[in-house]
Amino acid sequence: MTLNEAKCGDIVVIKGIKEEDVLAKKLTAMGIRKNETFEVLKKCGRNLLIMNNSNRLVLSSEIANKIEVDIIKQNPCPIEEIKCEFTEEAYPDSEEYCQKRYRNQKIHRKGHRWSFFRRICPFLKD
Amino acid sequence: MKAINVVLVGNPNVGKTSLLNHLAGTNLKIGNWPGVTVEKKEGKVLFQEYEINFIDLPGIYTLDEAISEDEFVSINFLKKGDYNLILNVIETPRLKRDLYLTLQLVELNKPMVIALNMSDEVKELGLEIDEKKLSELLHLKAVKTNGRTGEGIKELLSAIIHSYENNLLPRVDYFSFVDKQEDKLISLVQGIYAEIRKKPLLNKKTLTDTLDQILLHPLLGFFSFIAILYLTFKIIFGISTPMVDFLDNFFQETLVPFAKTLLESVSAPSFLIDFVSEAMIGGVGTVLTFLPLVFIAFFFITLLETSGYLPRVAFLVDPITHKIGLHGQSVIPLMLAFGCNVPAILATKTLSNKLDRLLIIAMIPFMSCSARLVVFSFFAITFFSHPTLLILFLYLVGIILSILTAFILQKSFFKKELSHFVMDLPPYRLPSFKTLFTIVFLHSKSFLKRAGTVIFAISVIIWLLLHLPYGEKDLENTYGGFIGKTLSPIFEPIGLGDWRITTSLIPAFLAREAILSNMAVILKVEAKDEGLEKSPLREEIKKVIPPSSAISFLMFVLIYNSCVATFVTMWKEGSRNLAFLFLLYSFGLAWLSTFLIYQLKNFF
Repeated sequence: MTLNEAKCGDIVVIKGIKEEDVLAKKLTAMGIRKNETFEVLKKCGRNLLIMNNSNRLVLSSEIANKIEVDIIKQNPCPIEEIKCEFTEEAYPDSEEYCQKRYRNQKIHRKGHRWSFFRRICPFLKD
Repeated sequence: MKAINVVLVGNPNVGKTSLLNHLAGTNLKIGNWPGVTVEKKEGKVLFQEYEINFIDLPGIYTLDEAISEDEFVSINFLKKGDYNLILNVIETPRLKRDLYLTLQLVELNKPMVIALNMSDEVKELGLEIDEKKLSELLHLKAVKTNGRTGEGIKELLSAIIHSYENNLLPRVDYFSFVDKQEDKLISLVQGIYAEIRKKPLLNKKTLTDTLDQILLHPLLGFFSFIAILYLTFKIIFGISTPMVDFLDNFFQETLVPFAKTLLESVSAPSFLIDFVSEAMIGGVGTVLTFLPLVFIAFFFITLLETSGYLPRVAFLVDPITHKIGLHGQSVIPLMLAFGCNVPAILATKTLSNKLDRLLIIAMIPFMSCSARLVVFSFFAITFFSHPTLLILFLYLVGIILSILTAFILQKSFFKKELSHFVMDLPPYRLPSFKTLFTIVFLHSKSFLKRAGTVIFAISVIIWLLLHLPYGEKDLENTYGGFIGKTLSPIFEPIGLGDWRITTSLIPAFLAREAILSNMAVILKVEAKDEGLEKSPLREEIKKVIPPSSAISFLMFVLIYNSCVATFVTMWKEGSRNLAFLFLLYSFGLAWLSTFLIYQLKNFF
């Protein structure tokens, strides 16, 4: 799979870069190297924010499509995967997320009520 | 005295220029985003009977091939330039990334010293690096440094001298660079990193992680961006307005009478007394009263530049910018333009695509610089009850017009595919107060220098034009009045037909602040000729510009090409055609926008 297919919160290991051009060399020099582990922090619009230790990189999806990865840990709650558009469509997974999270705790209604707040305040999600 | 040429090389944003400022006592521009240095910079220091010339190059990730113009400058110099030693600056928290370039530099076969910079951040992150082990492995000297405080500078200078005198050529045992296998190089990086790392990074949530949760959020991030802009203006005005008023009173109520009395006491000719009170203190003094505002504005701009917030804005606005064919990184030069348009145009050198560069160069003059802020502030305080909101509105109009211009150009002359986007996101950093105040002091000095040179010269010219032909009593019949009246029909439909406004507005192409000095000179000369009692400049301007025309005036000042320095830089960095076309376009757009606003205001 490619890095672009990874979801927010996923931890991936780089398997390689598809094309061997100047850009690929630059990416290698920037730290995107074979066997390096990255966490996908955010996907916003066409961009991804990935992080490896203290190395944070922003990549456009065209570049992310050229990077082959394997997922080593999947995020169960990809709440921050949003499209940066101010519409309900921008949060395709959030409803499902809230339902899953609160169903077992029998506080579904309360969770639903706070879902918007949680969407705009991701730092309060835990 | 022997001379050593030392070239500073490293990945972007690792603190090369900060280190050079400590090494050579220079005051070069620093920031916290990749691509602050776009041209070769130099500084020198005398140390142990040596004159060490430091050459600071723009940051590069690899020596393989240049993608952008700034990378070309660095790679070309490293491969063909005249230097004796390489000073490889490494961002220690990202040592593993930086070692890749280090090993490529080893191949150049020049004496080399490594500066393990940002050693303070490493401690906070729990990482511990064995610099002695690194020195042993690469057969060179590695020194821990701190670009913020200047820690390790003396050791670094000693290491440079020692490496030069002993011609310490770096090498890696049991490894050949000849076969150029990428995988082997990466393995070597990993091996060296594993050897020299005493303690790994702590897996803890940092301040950057917490702040990014809010500032990079698509909704909260935008709110935060607007709030930061608003608060910045609010604080700038809150602090500076009383100081500006104090200085204004001091110049007009104390300095002018004092200078007049002094000159009269030595029987100075009347034209000299008029010149000092009208052109010097009246004209230049009016601009100088805004020094506190410029100082405070640059304090906040520098804080934003050095904090690491600018690349976040780039990430945040990318969904908008990519609709006009640009990626988010282009926002960094645009944000820099809030300080001054000229360095912002130079900052486009980091972009790899030529059309991207031209597109951004055409957007930059719409971003309000500090010179325009001075004019806006004066008029906002004079005419409007909520000056902060008005100025925020003007800044937003500038941003919208720059986007509109980019959209038009992208659909017409600069049709292109969207280029790829890859950018380093640095951690948030708080600059030292010394660094912050040094930068702000330099900007303030530049403002004072401009007031003492360009604005002074313009004030003198305007004053002379208002006194020629000699003996002419009616100001409208002087050369100044003639120029203003000739041009006023062009400005009549936009509510700026008064000859005093047009005479003030045109020379402002040389420097925006000159609008205020010109108006001050004209109104002072006029008040004296008519024998009127002098009232504060703000009250006088209210008589010339009706409140209905004030917003038109500000819109015109905002939109039409910022200044001659911007024009020349556009020519040099973009093209001659672009500079001239932009001049016409910005004037047309300014006239049209102002016309619509003025007519709509009259209609309602």
